[in-house]
Amino acid sequence: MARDYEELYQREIGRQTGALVSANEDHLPSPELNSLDRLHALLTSTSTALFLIGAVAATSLLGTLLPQHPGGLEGLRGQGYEAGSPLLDAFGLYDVYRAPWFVLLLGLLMVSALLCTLKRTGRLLRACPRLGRRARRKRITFIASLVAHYSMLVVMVGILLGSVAGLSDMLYLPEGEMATVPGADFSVRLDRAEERYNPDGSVRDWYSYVTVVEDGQDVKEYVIEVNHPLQHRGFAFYQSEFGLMPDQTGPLPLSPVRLQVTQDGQPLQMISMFDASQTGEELDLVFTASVPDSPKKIEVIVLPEEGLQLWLSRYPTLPDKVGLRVLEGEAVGMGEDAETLFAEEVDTTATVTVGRLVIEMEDLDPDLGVEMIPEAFEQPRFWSGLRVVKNPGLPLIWLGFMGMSLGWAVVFSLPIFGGAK
Amino acid sequence: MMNMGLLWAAVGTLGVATLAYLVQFVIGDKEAAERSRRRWAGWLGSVAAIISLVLLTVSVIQFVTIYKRLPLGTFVETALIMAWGFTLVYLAAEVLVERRLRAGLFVLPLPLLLTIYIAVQDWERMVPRHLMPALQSYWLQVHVASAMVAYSSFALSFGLAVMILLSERLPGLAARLPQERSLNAWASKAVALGFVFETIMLLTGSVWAQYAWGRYWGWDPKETWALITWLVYAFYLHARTVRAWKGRRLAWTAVVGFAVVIFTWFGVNWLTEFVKLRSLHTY
Repeated sequence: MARDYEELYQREIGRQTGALVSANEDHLPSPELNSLDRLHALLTSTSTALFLIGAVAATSLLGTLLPQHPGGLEGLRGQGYEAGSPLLDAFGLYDVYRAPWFVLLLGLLMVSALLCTLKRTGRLLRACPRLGRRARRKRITFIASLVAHYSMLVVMVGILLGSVAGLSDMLYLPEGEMATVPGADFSVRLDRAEERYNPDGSVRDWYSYVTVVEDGQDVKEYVIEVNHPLQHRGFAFYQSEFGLMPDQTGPLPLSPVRLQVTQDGQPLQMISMFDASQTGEELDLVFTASVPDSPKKIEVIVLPEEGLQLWLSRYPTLPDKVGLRVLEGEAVGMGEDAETLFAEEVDTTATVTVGRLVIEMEDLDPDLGVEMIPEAFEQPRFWSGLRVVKNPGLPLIWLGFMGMSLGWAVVFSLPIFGGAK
Repeated sequence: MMNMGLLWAAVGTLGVATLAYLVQFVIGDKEAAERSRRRWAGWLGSVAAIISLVLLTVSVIQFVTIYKRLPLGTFVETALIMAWGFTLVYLAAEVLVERRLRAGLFVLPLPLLLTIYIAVQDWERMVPRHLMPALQSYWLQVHVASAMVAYSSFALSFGLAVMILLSERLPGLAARLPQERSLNAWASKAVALGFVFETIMLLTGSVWAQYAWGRYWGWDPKETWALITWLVYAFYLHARTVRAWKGRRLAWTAVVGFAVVIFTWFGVNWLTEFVKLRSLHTY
């Protein structure tokens, strides 16, 4: 039969070493002790540790039941939140994770974890010479458990260090402009910002082509994208926001496309959603309806007799392509009742067959490719929002993470796979 | 296009397995004929559970061939991988490690419900071909795979905890269940395994968040609930090892732990709607 943990600890280690660990090993402080000893006894008590674990779990929960804001209820009101009680606000319940009592509770849990772990380390050191052969594997488990607990404390030190010496800020850069990094003695220039798409028209990724400039010299080029931050001199830059410059008024350099849809050889009636003048069996589309904050332009064509919609999207980064989606459903929209029959990125000169439909496209100005954008068109200009983070605590946090994973993996894998008989 | 027939077949076999385990549980074992029927019911349950696992595995493979990625991105995808994981971890414990555990009746209804849920979803509408930029990371795979192992182990410990509570509350049933000592031991092993992977899930999620958003922790509701899960199971393990909890108290802790797991996984999604919190998690 399986020999479980408590037996492992109590019978194997506990019996052999006398008192390495035993259940109910401590009691709440007795009244004879002086107050400092009592505090120490309280904090090294496993009952206290268990209570604190439960208390942190229960109070963390509170912050997910109420909306949170760094400015508390006042901050929320500023964002248009109308409900809320000043009483709850007085207890910091609209900013639980920064509330003094929560930080104190978390701190107490860490102090309790530290003291309990130190106490157990002391026992291990005292008991070591007396450990028998049979207890050796259990000792590995015990040491691994200590490693995991100390690692957790290393993480906490890293978090504290980061909160004291770290910084987090936003850097908004229009294309072609440079800014000094807050808290640093170097600058970053945004050479180009780009949004790229999947064939179904959804955003694939945002890219910021940046150059690091130190004392007027270009020292490093990097393409920042989501999940691929730039690291430089302890600072990290994350792709965070992206948009089209608000003063952008000129037309985008996209060629018009002629569109015709036939079914069994018969041309179908089409209506443009965005341009009432565009109605008929053959349309010349210029893609004027743009997506907010995106260089993407879209056109939606309704085929009323067939209950179909065509969504065509185009982007200046790929002027020879059209993102084409064919949706079934009377209502315009990609909501509940629309079914996608086709979604792909096709050439502006493509002929696409979807069931009985034949969609023919013709590029009315094929010269308007990537290399051939005429000067008459104003180039679209984008901006990129980069989150700048400096966190000197990260190495400690990562080190602690490794210790926690390894420590606990050893603690729990030995009894499971090794001690099962 | 995902073949829903495979998933419905898995619903059928999981249903058969659950029923077989129910029959096995209900039949007494006083007479030789009863014991024989009971053994047959147990075998039928195991075989049906294995077929369920095969069907779910084929569904996962089918997803990968269609979408060119693992089913880890959206809620319905994680439901598929969890149904697979729950069945796999249950079978690993029941068939490979200890056949007499007889936890099938208490664990398999979970993947059964999940499989029904995913079979009635409109995959074409709910599952995007392409994941949003923040999800395009190798950390996603480690993060969700760890969650799968953790939640599957917690599901097993939940089933065992229910058995412990049943045998304490209804002594008449105790004879039909394995010894409580054995149940206690296996429930704790399942929690321990789950805790290791819950830790890895939290830590890899944290590293990934640092890469994607520049912060390793942001008290996002999903993050907070994952931390609560971790704390509840940390409580369980400490209560057991240093305070020698067992039996009913410990079993209730495992039940609460699994309730928190379920809430973390899909309760948070409606909570954020309800409280108007913002969550960066899509599943």
